[in-house]
Amino acid sequence: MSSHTVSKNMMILWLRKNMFSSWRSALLSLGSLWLAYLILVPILVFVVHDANWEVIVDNIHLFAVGSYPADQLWRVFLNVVLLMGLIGGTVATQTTMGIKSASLFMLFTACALWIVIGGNGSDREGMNAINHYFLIAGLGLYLLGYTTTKKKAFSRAKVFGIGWLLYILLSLILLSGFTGNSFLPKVTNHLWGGLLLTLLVTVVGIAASFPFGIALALGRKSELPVIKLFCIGFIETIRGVPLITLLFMGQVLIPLFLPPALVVSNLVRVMIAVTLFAAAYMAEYIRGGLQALPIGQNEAAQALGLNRVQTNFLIILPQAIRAVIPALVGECIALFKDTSLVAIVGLLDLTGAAKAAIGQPNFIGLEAEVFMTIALVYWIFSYLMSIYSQNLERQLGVGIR
Amino acid sequence: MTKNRLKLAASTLFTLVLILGASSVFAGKLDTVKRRGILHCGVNKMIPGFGFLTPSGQFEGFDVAFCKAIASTVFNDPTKVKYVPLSSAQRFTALQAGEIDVLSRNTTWTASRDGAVGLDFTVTTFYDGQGVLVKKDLGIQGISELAGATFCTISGTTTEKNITDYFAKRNVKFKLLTFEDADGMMSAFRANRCDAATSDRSTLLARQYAEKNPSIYVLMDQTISKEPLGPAVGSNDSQWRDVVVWTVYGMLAAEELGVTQKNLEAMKKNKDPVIQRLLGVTGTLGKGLGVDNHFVANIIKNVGNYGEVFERNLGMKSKFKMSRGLNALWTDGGLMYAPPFR
Repeated sequence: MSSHTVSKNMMILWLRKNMFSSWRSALLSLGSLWLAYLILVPILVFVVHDANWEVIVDNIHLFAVGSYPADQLWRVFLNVVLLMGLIGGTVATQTTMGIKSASLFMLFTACALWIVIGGNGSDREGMNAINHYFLIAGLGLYLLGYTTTKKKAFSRAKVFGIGWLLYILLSLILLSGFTGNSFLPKVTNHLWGGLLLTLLVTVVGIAASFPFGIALALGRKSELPVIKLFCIGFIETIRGVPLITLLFMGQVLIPLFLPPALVVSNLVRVMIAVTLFAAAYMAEYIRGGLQALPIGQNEAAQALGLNRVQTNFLIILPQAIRAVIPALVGECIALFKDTSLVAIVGLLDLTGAAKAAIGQPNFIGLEAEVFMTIALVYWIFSYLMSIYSQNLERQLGVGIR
Repeated sequence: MTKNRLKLAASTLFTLVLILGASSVFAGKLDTVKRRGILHCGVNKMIPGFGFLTPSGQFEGFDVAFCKAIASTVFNDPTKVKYVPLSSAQRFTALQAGEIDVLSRNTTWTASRDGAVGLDFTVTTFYDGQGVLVKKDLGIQGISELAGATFCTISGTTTEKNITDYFAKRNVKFKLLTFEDADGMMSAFRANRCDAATSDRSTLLARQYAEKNPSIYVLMDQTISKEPLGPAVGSNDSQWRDVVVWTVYGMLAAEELGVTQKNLEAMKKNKDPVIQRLLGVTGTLGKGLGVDNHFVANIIKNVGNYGEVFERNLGMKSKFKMSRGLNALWTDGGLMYAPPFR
């Protein structure tokens, strides 16, 4: 018997065992195959044959950065390059993530970021070559970030506390620039859009809501009645309304109440609303972690002579947060997807850009192409976060220890 | 003594603050816009032909052109506009809250919006109305010939009610198929599930030209409802409203007098006193409105006259090949009529 027939027999055996073990499962298997055929074939025909992908190719600029001026795009690119380095460093803090999955992660990220950098060359000739330098620089910085973090053994706290916070500040300055500066001219934030805006709202939302959420969770367990009542009231109010309500409040009520001089820009109001919303949920997850801790931890810390602050930050919180990492990452992913709601209040995020693209005279009625594409983009980023969180759980031994 | 003096000083200060505060509240929109140096214009970002974003993220369209025209009136610079894309839910609050100076977003002028909602409409820039799209081979001349026909339309709009009223008045039977959005309506129409599609004419036209073969359809000239669209401003600021009103009238008058982007420089030397007054060569019409005396010339230079804007965005020079219809000048049998510039 040749090895070919062996493998063929193996396959038949596998099929018989897993799909046709009884007449019931045979029926189910055939039924599922038929269903899959019914669903997949039209999708495939659409993607390969019917769809008009020109709407995506022509609108890469809109999808990536919204109305950001074309001659200032290098600032976005530089931002992306820095982000690559930081992601490299973040991946390197994952000791359970092998070389294989780290390179997979890099490939995945590179693909996602290529959308921003690579595609934007369609605007002008000669921009393409420069774009590729940016891409190469990004990949290089990713490796640099990875190896440096590995070599120096930077802790996760350092990478997140210093690296990411510094990056957020730097990128905001880089993107907005200064009035009257010829090198970094001001680009007001109503011009920011596309994937750039989606990621920005997400990153700022996560970074700002995490400490806020911790404070609220601790406050809710506080013995001081005023603080406790305030935290409970805040959390329950925010959790009691949908995010879109908060967004509309920010859009509609704040400008009506505040004098014009005090009204901050649309984007900032959205960021505040998203942060408040995420913080309330994070607080409840963290409170769950706090309550899961045995009271003995607290008593042991006090017996060692730690004061309340030390007890909280050295003993209680690290354990409490570790216990609820899956829920926290879930909240981050949810926050990322929730940012699509800002399209309703007139911001031009990825979803807003998609809606705008189908309003162009050349591309009326191409909803399917556009929404399939942005769904893919949302999926890629959500999946990246998910991979990261799975690794984080494995490394911290959630559910094992 | 000192106590009294302190009291006096405090009350003077208080009054001063009040006056300053009040004056800043009642400062006209025109002054606010001039001081700010940029016009805030509320637009739609997803209506083909009227307000949309180009692939590089610039706002374009018929409604957007009026933002550029107003910016030309105030600053002689069509780029000094901050476009605020608004949903239909947000648009009125944005205007009331002063977030935008003018709303140029396919808004129908109605009594309730002018009254209860607290907007001030300016001039109708586009006379829309509910129309009917049929296949050419039906060979139909008027909507009333469609007795007993099936109509596709979009649910939850006044279009349903309008078409029902239209046929009820004539005591004629017809069938109605409603769909969630324009896509559903058009695919049913394409598949011959109905004889005609009905919605706003501008929507139908955009949809017609999105079809693979637009020429097999015909959009009837007849309308069965009134949808006058035009820019709106906040209530009770007649100076600012005048600026917007005369910006639009300036574009209409320029078309009527034959002043175009191309012949503007030649027209400035024209001996016709009407043209001279319009372009600010003589007279003080612009100054009276609180803007540059040459404001109409600036609009024409930067944006073009009404006809040019129409043709570029909706008419023969665009994808939509829309005829002027009611939007023709009154001299051509339309409704566009500007009061005299004198």
